[in-house]
Amino acid sequence: MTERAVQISIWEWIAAAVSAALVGAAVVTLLVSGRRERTPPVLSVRVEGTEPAGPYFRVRFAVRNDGGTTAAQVVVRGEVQTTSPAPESGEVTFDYVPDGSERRGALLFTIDPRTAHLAVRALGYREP
Amino acid sequence: MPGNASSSFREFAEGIARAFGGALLFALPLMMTIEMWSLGFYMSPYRLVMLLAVFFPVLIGLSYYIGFDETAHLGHAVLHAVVAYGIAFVSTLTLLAVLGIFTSEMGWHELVGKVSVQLGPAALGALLAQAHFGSPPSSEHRRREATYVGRLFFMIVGALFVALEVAPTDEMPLIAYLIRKQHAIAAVALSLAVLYFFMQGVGFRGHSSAEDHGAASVFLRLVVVGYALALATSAFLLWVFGRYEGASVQSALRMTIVLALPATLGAAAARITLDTE
Repeated sequence: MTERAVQISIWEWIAAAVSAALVGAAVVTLLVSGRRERTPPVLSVRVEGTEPAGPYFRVRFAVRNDGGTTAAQVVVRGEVQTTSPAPESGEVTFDYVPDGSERRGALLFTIDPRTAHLAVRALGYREP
Repeated sequence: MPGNASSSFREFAEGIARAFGGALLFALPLMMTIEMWSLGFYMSPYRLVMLLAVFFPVLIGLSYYIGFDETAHLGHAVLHAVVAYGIAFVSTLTLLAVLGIFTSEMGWHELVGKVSVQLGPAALGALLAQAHFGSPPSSEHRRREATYVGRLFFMIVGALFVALEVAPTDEMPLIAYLIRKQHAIAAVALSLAVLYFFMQGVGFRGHSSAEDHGAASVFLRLVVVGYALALATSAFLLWVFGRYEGASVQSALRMTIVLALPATLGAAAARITLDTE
């Protein structure tokens, strides 16, 4: 075996130390989030604003998951109730709302929700 | 090799640049795969840590036989495997940011998960750099001198090299739903045939472990063992990516056989992709 003498330079030690710190931090974060209880998703919807958008009125909202696991196929439904008997409704589906994260979306109505009663809520989800 | 500080830094920087090139070359398709983004947050965090831990010995072996720069001994290879993880971290963070995967609405767990799931493949790519961009005589010598066990290791790396690109996709369970028993049997037969022909050398020189041995010996020592390794690699990847959850034994087996097809191709072609002959 006639291998050329290869020395470990100081730069390699520095790079290895920085790498170990980065990956170590990622592993620690993973272990900490793994220790947390895997509680079911806890979803909440917050309306962030209503404004005219072309021929419609747009209701912007954020859906948040404060539970310990990810929710998939989260359906958010909004209803605008006026004096007429049939309320106007709309629905949006989010592929994923991971635990500790938020996702944003909007619902469109023909009635101005600011002059009526608006209710927005999450209908359900699927386990991924 | 006395060399002053500036020349040693230059050599180091060249190695790091090669490693980044290798990481991107292999991991970019995975960074652009939608299933990889969601796996990062719905996979159990413990399983992500397990993925990193299982990849580490593979990375050490790769660093010894190929790597992104010359290594003096096994300890040096371990050091490079650690650096490869760091390079994987930086390149994943940069690329996912460029691709707009990170948003302000993401929580910590989601962000770290999305990066961590890419680390193993990207580090694998970093340490394969010298297989693509030319390798020094010392590691080439190590590959030529590799024992039977070393060659089996190359098969595992080859299997990972191809299977990783498709393992996280939804097509794996989908194909498993579509196929019937006879398709699965045909897939097994095809896998074995591909391995056998690659080992015996079709259009190129045969596998050196296959020389001077009869067909039965090649079949048992390389083909059957190679297919077993491809199946095991596929099973591990499917389990890590949570594909076995809620699946019946039947459909889990089918999924494994489906993924073992590309894994076998990778294992069979390892001597070309890894330049071990």
